[in-house]
Amino acid sequence: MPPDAGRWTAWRRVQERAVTLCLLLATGVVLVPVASVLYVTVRNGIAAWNWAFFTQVPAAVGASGGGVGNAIAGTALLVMLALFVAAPVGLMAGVYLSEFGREGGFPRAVRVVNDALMGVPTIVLGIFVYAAVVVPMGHFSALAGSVALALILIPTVVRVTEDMLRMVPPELRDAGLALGVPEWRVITSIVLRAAFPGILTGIALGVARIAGETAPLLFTAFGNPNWALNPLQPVSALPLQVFLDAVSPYADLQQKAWGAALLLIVIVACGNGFARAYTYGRKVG
Amino acid sequence: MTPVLEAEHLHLMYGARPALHDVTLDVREHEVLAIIGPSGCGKSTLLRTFNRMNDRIPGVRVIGSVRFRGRSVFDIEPTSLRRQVGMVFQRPTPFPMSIFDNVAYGPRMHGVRDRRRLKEIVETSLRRAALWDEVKDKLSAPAAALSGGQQQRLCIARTLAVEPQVILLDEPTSALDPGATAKIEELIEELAGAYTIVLVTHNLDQAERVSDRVAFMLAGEVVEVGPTAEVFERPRDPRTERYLAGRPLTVARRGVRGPRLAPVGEWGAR
Repeated sequence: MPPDAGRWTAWRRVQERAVTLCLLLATGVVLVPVASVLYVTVRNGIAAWNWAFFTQVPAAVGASGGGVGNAIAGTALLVMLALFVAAPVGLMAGVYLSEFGREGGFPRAVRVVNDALMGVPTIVLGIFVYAAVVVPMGHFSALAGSVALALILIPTVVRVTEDMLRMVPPELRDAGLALGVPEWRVITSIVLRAAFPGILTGIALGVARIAGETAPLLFTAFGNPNWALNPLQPVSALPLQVFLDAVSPYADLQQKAWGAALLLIVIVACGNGFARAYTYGRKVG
Repeated sequence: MTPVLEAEHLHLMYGARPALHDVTLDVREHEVLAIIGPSGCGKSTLLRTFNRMNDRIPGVRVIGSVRFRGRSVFDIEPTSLRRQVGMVFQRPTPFPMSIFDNVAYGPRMHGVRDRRRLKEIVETSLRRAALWDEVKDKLSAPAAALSGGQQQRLCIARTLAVEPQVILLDEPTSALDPGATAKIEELIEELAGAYTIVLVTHNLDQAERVSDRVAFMLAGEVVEVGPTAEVFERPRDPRTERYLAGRPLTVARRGVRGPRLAPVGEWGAR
């Protein structure tokens, strides 16, 4: 043992402590905002939660009581419509990219465009849908809102589908083909099946995200103080309700905004939680 | 008699890279033919031309002929060819479904709908693959829960379920432990009576134990083909002799110190 081995060991211990401390601090920096957002939202929002909050429409301005039932229903409607369009379109495009368009100019272009779409600020998508759907229709509508949300969801679904399908081991495809099964049936019955948990997780995360989007709804779904479940009429949505109530001068409405915000957090957390619960303990292939 | 499978003056290129060079080889009815040779010598490539699995690889070009019962495989619909010429791969490939559904997959895809008939097929196939007794009580369990060796026998059962005439085995035991390997080898010997089997293997002892004839490949060429005992005891080609001499187990068993030449595993690699 060299004569100064003891000193080296001590120095290493100091180094180890210092690095561990830095890592802990960094973790704290990540956790503190999350924890404080949760804390403040729960503390301010939970008081707004009562039966009326979930079942009634907003009360007249200045009056107390009422709820955000129409916004909850509106968000459900918007997300459902968006999912209805985005899931099949995204799935099929993802299957195309992974199974039939590995190489070549067109698939590469599709990937670039898809990634670009993923990066477009959502308010820009909102304006686009305003020009493309709202103006020709002559009025705001749930349909326009869900088109905007679908445009946010599609690139995510395409990407997740392609990635998950690529993770399916090629041997699995070969094994299906080697039984004399046509390629399209191998894809639908084996490859998609193997990738399904991953794809579903990705879609759940995407849905959780669009449920919380505000900007693209501002001039598409617009908002509506009454019950409205007609896709061709303007509807309310939770993020819109938060936006409206939070800037109002009335304490009662501000509390409703906190309550709606809390509900949004719960929805997003449920989406994430579902995705995780579904993915853990499973692996592709 | 027409051989079951035959390759004649077969050349195969992956793009500009040659993988098979002037291969002529026949596979006879109900024999076990082992194909041996160092990594990268083209043995798996040759195996995959028999059921046209190379079709899927972009840039593959083939010159020469490959025939199944006298008919060019390129004139046979791939799905129909592959039903008759089944294949089992190096790594077990259980589908993400139950044990029963794995075995029933092929017949279902080929139009068998009747529950009773499917049950029959599944049981027969699992029995032939020597797996029935181990799984008969948990047919609805996911196939992924089986051990590696069981999974590989499941894959063999799945192949048998579509009633092929030929079974191509691509290093079926290289991912398995010795116990599981022994079971697969036993199984190959049992199946040999009813099927024609082509076995690609790295394991020379395995080739010696289970095959009737053996083909030695090197750098994309078939160097030597013959009855297994003859090739192992009296190889005609010096390259075969050198390759076999590099086998430590055999050297020890025969008590002969074979000439220790270049590390054999690296020949044939590009």
